[in-house]
Parts: sequence; C-alpha cells; structure tokens
Amino acid sequence: MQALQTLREVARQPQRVAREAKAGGKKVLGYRCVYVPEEIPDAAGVTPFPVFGTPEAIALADSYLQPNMCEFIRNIFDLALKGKLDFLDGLVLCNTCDAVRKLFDHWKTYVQTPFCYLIANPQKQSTDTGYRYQYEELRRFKEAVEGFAGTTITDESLRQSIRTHNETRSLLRQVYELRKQDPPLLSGEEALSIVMGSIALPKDRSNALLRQLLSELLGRQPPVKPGPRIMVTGSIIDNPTLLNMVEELGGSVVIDDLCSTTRTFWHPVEEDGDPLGALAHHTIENPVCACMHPAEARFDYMLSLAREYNAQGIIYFNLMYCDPFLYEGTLFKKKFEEQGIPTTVLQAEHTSSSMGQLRTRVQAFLEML
Amino acid sequence: MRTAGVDVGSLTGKALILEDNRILAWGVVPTGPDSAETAREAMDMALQKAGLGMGQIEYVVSTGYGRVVVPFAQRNVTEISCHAKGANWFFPSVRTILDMGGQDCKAIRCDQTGKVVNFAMNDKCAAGAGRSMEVMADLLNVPLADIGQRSLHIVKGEVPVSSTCVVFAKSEVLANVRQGVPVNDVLAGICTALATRVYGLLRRVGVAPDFAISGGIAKNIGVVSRVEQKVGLKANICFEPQIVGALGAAIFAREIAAKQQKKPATV
Amino acid sequence: MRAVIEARRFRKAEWARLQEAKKQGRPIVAAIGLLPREIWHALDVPAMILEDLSVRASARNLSGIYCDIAEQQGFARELCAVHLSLAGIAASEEHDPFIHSIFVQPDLIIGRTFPCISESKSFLYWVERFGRPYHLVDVPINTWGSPVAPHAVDYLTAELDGMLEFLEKHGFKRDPVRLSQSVLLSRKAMELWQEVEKLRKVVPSPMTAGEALSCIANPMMLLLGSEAAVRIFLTLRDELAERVKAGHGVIPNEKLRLLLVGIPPLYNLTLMSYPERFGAVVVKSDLDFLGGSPMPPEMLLPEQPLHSLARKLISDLINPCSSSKVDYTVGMVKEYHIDGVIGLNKRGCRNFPATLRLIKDAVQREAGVPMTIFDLDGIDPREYDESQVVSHIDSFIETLARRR
Repeated sequence: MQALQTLREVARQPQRVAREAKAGGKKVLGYRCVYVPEEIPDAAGVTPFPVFGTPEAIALADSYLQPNMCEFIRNIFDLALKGKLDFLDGLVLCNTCDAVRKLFDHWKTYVQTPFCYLIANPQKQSTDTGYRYQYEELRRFKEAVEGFAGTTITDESLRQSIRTHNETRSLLRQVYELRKQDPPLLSGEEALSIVMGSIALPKDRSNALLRQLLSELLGRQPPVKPGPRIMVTGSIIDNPTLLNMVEELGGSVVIDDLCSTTRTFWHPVEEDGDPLGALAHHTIENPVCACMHPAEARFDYMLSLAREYNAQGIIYFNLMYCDPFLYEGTLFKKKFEEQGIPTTVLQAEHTSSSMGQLRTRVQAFLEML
Repeated sequence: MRTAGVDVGSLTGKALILEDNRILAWGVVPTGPDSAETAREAMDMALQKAGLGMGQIEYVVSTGYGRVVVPFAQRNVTEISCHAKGANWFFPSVRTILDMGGQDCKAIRCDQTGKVVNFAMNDKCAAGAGRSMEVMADLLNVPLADIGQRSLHIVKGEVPVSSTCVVFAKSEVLANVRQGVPVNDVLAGICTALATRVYGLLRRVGVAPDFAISGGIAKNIGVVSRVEQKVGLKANICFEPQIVGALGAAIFAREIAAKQQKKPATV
Repeated sequence: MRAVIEARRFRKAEWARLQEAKKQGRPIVAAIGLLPREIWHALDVPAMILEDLSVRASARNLSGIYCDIAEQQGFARELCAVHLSLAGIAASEEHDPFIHSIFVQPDLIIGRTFPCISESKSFLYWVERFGRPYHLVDVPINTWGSPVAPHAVDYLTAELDGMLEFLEKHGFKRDPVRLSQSVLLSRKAMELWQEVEKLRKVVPSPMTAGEALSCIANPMMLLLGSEAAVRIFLTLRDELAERVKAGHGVIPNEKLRLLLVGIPPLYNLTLMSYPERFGAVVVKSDLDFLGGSPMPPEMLLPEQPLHSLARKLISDLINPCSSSKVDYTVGMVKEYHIDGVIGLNKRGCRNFPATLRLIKDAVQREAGVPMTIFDLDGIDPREYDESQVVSHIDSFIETLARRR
C-alpha cells in the first residue's frame, strides 16, 4: 500500500506540495472552489494549488471577517495573515458563495499577492448565453494568467493539460468504483485521502500514484466491517474525523459528494474542439455545488450518486455558517426521505472537537437505519 | 434472563435491572466528575435494591452522554434509541416522544416496535433544556420541585420572557422580580418559554399520537401542561420519567443477549 | 415630511392593488427584490416583493415569531433573519392581521442569484411550499468595478429576457412601448434622486436617514419605473429645496453628522433619532443608496430597455464585490461631511458585515473619519438589547465630540 501511504501523507499536509513547487522555482497559484479551471494555470507552467485549512485556532482573521462567517474561509484568510501561505504568488477564486467572494475582497486589500483573481462564473446551468458569458470570463482569466506567467497558452498546451487532468479524473472514478462493493474496498478516510492527495499533487505525479494504487488495491480485504451504507455530502470536509466516526460506529461510508472529493473529478472535460469552450461547458453543465442552479439538477445528481452506490442513508454535513448547504440540506432532507433514503443534517464547526459532539447524532442515525 | 441498562446523563446517572420483562430495581445518583464512577454508583444502588451482585447480570448496555466510558457495559446505544424503546415498553401506542434532559432535549418519532424513525435534537443551547430551570430556580431561590406547581398559580398575569438566551433571560427575569412582579407570574413565563422552545423541536419531527414525555423535566407540571396545550395531546408520563432511558438500554441488553444465545458460538 | 406621507400612501395603494389583483384572479408573482421593478410596472405584474414582507414584519415586531416558525421547519437560527422570516411567513397557516393584509398566495415565483446565498436559495422554500412554477434570474457579480463588462451586461440582458418569456408564458403581455416608458420614468426618478442627494448634503441636514427609509429607500426598491416614484421624489426635492433655502435643519444646533452602514433596528426605529439629543444627526444610511446605482441616469436608454436595466442592476451598490461599495461609501463620507460612521453587524448576514472592516479602514485612511462597528440584528428583535446598543452609541459620540 505504498501509493495509498504517499497520498495519505500528502493529504495530511498538502501545503508541503506547494512549498516544494515554489522551492523548485515554480510560481504557485492557490485556488478555491471547483469552478476554477486548474488546466489554465497548469498549461502556463504555473502550479495550481487547492488551498486547504488547518485545524488551528483563528487569531487574526476575526477582526476582518465576523466570526459568524464560514470557518473554512476564515481559516484560510487567517493563515494568509499569519504569513503561513507565503508560498503563494496569488489566489484564484470563483463565483460560488458569500464567504469566497468576501475572501477575494479581503485578500486583494490585506494580503496583496502579485495575483488575485475572481472568475465571475454564472450560477445557472446550461444556457447558451451563459456559455458565451463564461467563455469570455475564461478568456479574460487565461489572458491574466498569461500576463502573470509571462507565457502564451496555446490551444495545444491547454488541450494537453485537459487530457492530463482528465486522466486524473478517470483514475479517481476507477478508484471510486471499488466502493460499490459491499463492504466497500476503501474506507471513507482512505477515499478522502486519495482524492485530497491527488488534487494537491502535480497531475502527472497523481496519475502515476493512482495507477499504482489501483493495482495495489485489487485483491485487498475490505478495510471496514459490513454496516449501513452511508453517503456523506454537504459542506467541505478536509479532515477525516467525521468519516472515521461513522465507520467506528458501524457504518460504511461508500460515496461522498464533497468539494474536497467527487465534485472536483466526477465530470470529465471534453477533449476535442476549442479547449476554452470545453472548460466553459464543464462549468456551466455541472451544477455540482449548492451555489448553483437549478436545485433540481443538484438533487438529481446527488440522488443518482446515492442510488449508484446503494446508499442506505445520507449524512448531510453542514459546516457552521455555510449558507449554501444550510439551505440545501434543509430543503433536500425531505426530498431524499420521499425517495426512501433517510437523511440527517449535522451541523458542526471546522475543529475536530466540535465534530466529536456529533457522535450521539451519528450513532442514533446508524441505529435508526 | 437478567440484564441492566445504565444511563449516564449530564445531571444524573441511572441504572435499571430487568428480569425478563419485569423491572426489578433502579438507582439514580447525581453525576459526578467521573462518568465511570457515576455509572458504578448507580449500578451498585440498583444491585443493592435488587439484592443481586454484578455477576448475576447477563448483559449490560450503557446509554446517555457518558455511555462510552461505562467500563462494565458490553455495548452502548444512544439515548435517542433507548428513550424510544423505553417509552414503547411503558406505552406501546406512543409514536412521539419528547425527552427533556438536563443538557439537551430531543424530539423522537418511533414505530410500533419502538424503533426510531426520525429525531431532532437541541444540544447547543441551554435555553431549551432542563439546565435553564435549574438556573432560574437558583436565581429566584425557589426549590426546583416547586417551580411547576407555582407556575400554574398565576397571581396577576403571566410575565413573558422575551430573550431566548438563558444569559439574557436571567437579567430580564431579575429585573422583573426587582420591580415587584410576583414570583409565580415570572415562573409561569419561564415555563412557557421552555415549552415554546421544545414545541419548536417537536414541530421539526412532526407530532403523531400518542405522545409521551420522558426525562427529568417531565416532573415539572408547569412545563408539561403547557407543552400538552401546544401539542394538543395529553402526554403519557410513566411513574418515574427519569429511568426511561435506562429501561430502554436494559431492553436492548436483553434483545442483544437473546440474539447471541441463539447464535452458535463462534471463535 | 410631505414626501414621507406621500410615500406611505403609494405603498398602501400598492398593497391594495395586489389584493385587488388576487380577487380578480390575476396571477400574483412573488419576487425576490431588486430585480428591475421597472419590469413589473411595465407589464402590470402584481408583484409581491419578498424582502418587503420581511421588512414589514420586522417593523411590526413580528420577525421573532416568524423566525421561530422557520426554525420549527428545520431552518437554522444562524441564517439571515430576512429569509428566516420569509420561510416563517410561507410556513404559517394563519397570519397576524397586518401581514394577512399584505400577503397574498403567489401563483408564480421569481428568484435571483444575487447578491448573497440567502437571496439565491431561500425562495426555493417558497417554491416548495406553494408548489408554483418558478423562474430564476442569474445576475452576474461585478468584479470589474466601473464601467461594467459588456459580456456581463449581455448575459443579464438575456436573463431578463428569459424572465419576460416566463411571464409571457403565464399570461402577461410584453409591451415594448410601456417598457421604454418605464425605463424613462426610472431615469426621471434617478435624476430627481440625484438632485435630492445634492440637497441632502447641505449642512445643517434638511432630513434624516430615518425619513429617507420611507421616502427614498422604499420607493427605490419598489416603485422605480412608475409615476409614483417620480411623484415622491419630486415632492421630496421641492420640500428639501424649501428647507435648505430657509436654512432649516433637522435639529436646531447640528454638531455631528453620522453615516449609518447596515440595517437599523426596524422594530425600534426611534433609535435612529436617539443621537439627536447630543446634537448628532444620522444624515445618511447605506440603505437608501443600495437600491440606487452610481450609474449616471442618462445611461438608462428607453430604446434599449433591458440592456439599460441590466447595466443598472450590475452596477448597483448591492453587488457583492465590495470595492465599488467601499469607494462609494468613502465618497459619501466626504460629500456629506460625515464626522463618524456607525456600522451594524447583522447576525446571519454573510455579505454586508464582511465589508465593514474594509469600509472602516478606507474611511479612516481616505477621509480620516472614525467608524464604530457593533452587533445588531435590524430584523430579528429576539436578541436585541437596547441598553447595550445605547451605551455603544453614547461612547462613540463622546469620542467624536472629543475629536472636535
């Protein structure tokens, strides 16, 4: 399980990957949210890096962003104010939630990296005009990255970048196939680590590791005891506390729908034709985030995931003050239950001690199934 | 078969011994700093009353806030499942249970076998839990046990509590008392405020008849009657509402032990 | 003020019109506010503006009740009280008589992805509760400042066109002539608003920010594109001109001028005039420029109605990227000769409170004016503590007085 171990170590301290790239003379662009097309900076020879939080207490950010804002975003801003993200040459965000948009304003004013960009993507699925609008947004973004990197991104280099990223997506889908078995061939923690590690690493490295991982996983014994099959969805989860808790209490996490996992790789980007157009389609056709509309498409997508992986219950995780998933969880709980899938909405803060308080709810939910 | 349930809550520890389907004895002790010790004390009390030794108990299930640290329990089950199970034992027709504990409050829906089908829980805010009553009892210097009765004997008119936070409510209540408002009228407002909060929780799971209340607050007639009024149903309350969780745990213990006996021993 | 009375009259007339439309069996549209109201007036759409319901409920001290009801439906207390109240209103079987008089069961629902997640998501509960067809307008955020990017204007124009198609599908008639007229009326109102703004900057202040809530902010949100908005702003302009000419200020001896950023306690608006006992007047609040747009009124072109309205909406100061709002606020501080800024941090709002620090630093840096920030939920009175608020204001005014 060499590959698994490597990915797990990366997932534990993803920041290291970015530091190494920086030390190797690369420019590093941090990014947040699934609608930032990493393919573009990659094609310009700039390292895109998904910024994660750390479980440390927030110290400096509270006097800028009120404490009743998303703790994940406040955590990232706090790290930046403390100088702990000094390996970043810039930050790229996209138009998702309030907290992300406010991070843009505050980063621009108080962190002041050489590059700070917000892609103002549409929030509505598949309209022709939305496509044209997003195409122009991405064209502007590409131009900005070119200026920042001092290179030109050719169609061919962008296409190549899309192919490499698609390979990661496809390998991760193959890994996720192994969760369909009963009991699943991966624990929830393993799946999270594999994806987090793969999205943090440069993609050629991820692809090599994932191929190795797939061969290592074949023929292994299931790591978790059989139990109620659970889908975990909701706000971002960047540490395995909740997933481990579910499995300790007798459930198996068999599928997830999270910003740190499936949302980043579920849908491939078209490889033929205009590469920028393909990336624009990718954004507007896949409403994988709760900020996106229509809600019906989100629901159908989640329901199909739950069905495909034969989930018996859904844990809808809500990070405190994460509005998109607060609304969605409240509205979808009923809808999932109408479909015969019991659902529980759990609210917690970003820290693991707060997660600990969820134990009774998780256990009672599993007992109910 | 003799089994036991131990319920370690935030304010009290409870243990109950079941012989087949008959309650033999129970013990209730205040929760100390050490949950394992509290569990042991409650268990000892129950064993003593039943005239039994620990060796004569076949299987023990723990529940409640401190359920994971009960050293002599073979399994732990959440208080949510246990309260549904226990309430079902007392009142088989019950489908909605309100468990009002010291630190938290739960609204539970169950089926005819006592299996949970939905639940909602408030554990973030003391205003919706028994602890708020203790705070007010201390503040007004009224014995906790008297609050319910006194709240029903309104002198001039109920004085509503507008703050939903216990900390703010405290200063509000104090201000009223200083202005000479009769204590009973203030207590009435406090009971109504708590009833309103827990009714909100019940609405989240939906109320279906029959209805039961368990947990310590079930002894407070002032809150109970107000909840009943809001729900529009009479609450079934057993003779000792504090032991429902422990009873549920003891029933789970019996079910698990019976299942294990049936299964051929495996290595 | 005459303008305040007039604005109230028009507001009541709007409510009556809505009830009348329901009685006649015409389809009622429940819409998230700040979509171009010019369109409702042009198509004669009986529109119930959802945030206005919330605001009215708060003004009658009913928000706590409706928020409680929403929480019983599973909504978290952490959410914005404007939207919690809305969920509560939707869930209620029975209403307080006043809300009953302004609420009508919607037949169509129109939502919008802007400017915050609450606005973008909460209407979905209405959709579920009433089971009515709905349409969503995606409004791009403005990351470019001014001028806004043409591709964004084109996109929103198409989105507004989609909304018109939805309305047409449900029996409303698109009338290009009236749409142009509506845009022209909106332009007239905006031009008058600019005159009003000029008059308001005079020292001593001829009106308070509290008065502006009813005769500027409200018409701006609800009546733009109608004759009514023009009438109200005309009355207001003339009234202010008279007062300025007479040198008539809100209070006899105006010493300090305050700007309020955030929602004042709508359930206790007397707080707005509280500082007056210290010779301090709240002369301006950001609520009355949120519905407004720094876009010059002459850019509202009747020959390009949707395009103009799209541009106006994107440049509206409510747009979630803060730079334009920060710049505008600094401008207001300078032009209104503001001595101090009060920023209110509304619990449950992830948008405006998260610009307060940016504003505070900018007004300090660029205008040398101090700002105080404290927690106050202007909609939900459940945790309102007047003594705390008042002592906060007292100490701020003390420090301002000492600076003079």
